[in-house]
Amino acid sequence: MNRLVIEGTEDSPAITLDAEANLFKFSGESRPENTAAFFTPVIRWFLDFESDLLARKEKRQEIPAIRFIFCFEYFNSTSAKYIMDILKRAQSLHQQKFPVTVEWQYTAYDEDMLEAGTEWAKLIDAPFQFVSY
Amino acid sequence: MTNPTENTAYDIYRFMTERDVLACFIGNFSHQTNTSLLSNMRSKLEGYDSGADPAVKKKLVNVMMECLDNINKHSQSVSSSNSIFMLCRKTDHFDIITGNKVNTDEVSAFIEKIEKINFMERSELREWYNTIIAEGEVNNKGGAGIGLIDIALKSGNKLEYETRTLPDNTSFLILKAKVNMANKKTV
Repeated sequence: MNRLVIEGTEDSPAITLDAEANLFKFSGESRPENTAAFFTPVIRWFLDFESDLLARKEKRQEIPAIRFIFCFEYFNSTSAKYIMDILKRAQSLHQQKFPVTVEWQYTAYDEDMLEAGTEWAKLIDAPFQFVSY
Repeated sequence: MTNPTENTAYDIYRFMTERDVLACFIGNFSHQTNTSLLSNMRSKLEGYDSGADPAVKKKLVNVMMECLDNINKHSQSVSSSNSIFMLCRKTDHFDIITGNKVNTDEVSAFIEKIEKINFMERSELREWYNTIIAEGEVNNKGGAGIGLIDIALKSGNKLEYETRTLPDNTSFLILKAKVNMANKKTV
């Protein structure tokens, strides 16, 4: 699996999807002009990753811990739908018994970011950890 | 002898400062304009010693972002129209005000949406928001009123609106979102 690295900009998040380390990190601000075009390759990457993982499982290879780290500064409501789609990929892996954790990072005083994560933890069947900084 | 143009500018300056207008922008709210405006507002708020804590400043930017996206989305139906964005400081809250021209036949749908949002309890609004993002009823422009729901949830107050009828079957829509200085929700 190729690493997918997207540099952050003033209006779009930095994304690193590292299949070797099983570490997926999202950070910065998300309000891209064309949200669908921005997130579609990311969702597609996760679908390929899941197929790859299932193939490795079939070969009885050990799967190391899979970590999704969300460290958004801001995201708009249009991005929220796509973040939900990414979280649904985490849920799918968890439901197939892969060792998944979702780490939701937020600035200590940012109650909107904490509330967003708390709501997702209720909607998504995967273990969430909350980290304030 | 006073130049009449300068006098007008001074009147506008006085009008705004007396009403605690912290920022005002009139123009076309493209995505790029909104990006610069948000960056500018962030710097302005960082340096602004209002007694507002960082949580309130962060919330103001969160709400402003959705309000600006909202005019960017809704002002496109009327060509070459100028819209307005204002941030005002009141005694115990901030007002984020946006106004834009729309076709008059779009006004009733806007009012209906706001009234529906204002009628709901916070938990119902949250549930509605969650359903929209979970069921994917969102297009690239937001859609399904998710932006307005988000503004109501984040501002923690009822939304206020005003409409003015203009010539040529157009109307001016004004949306006001209030962000409390102290952390207190009425929605």
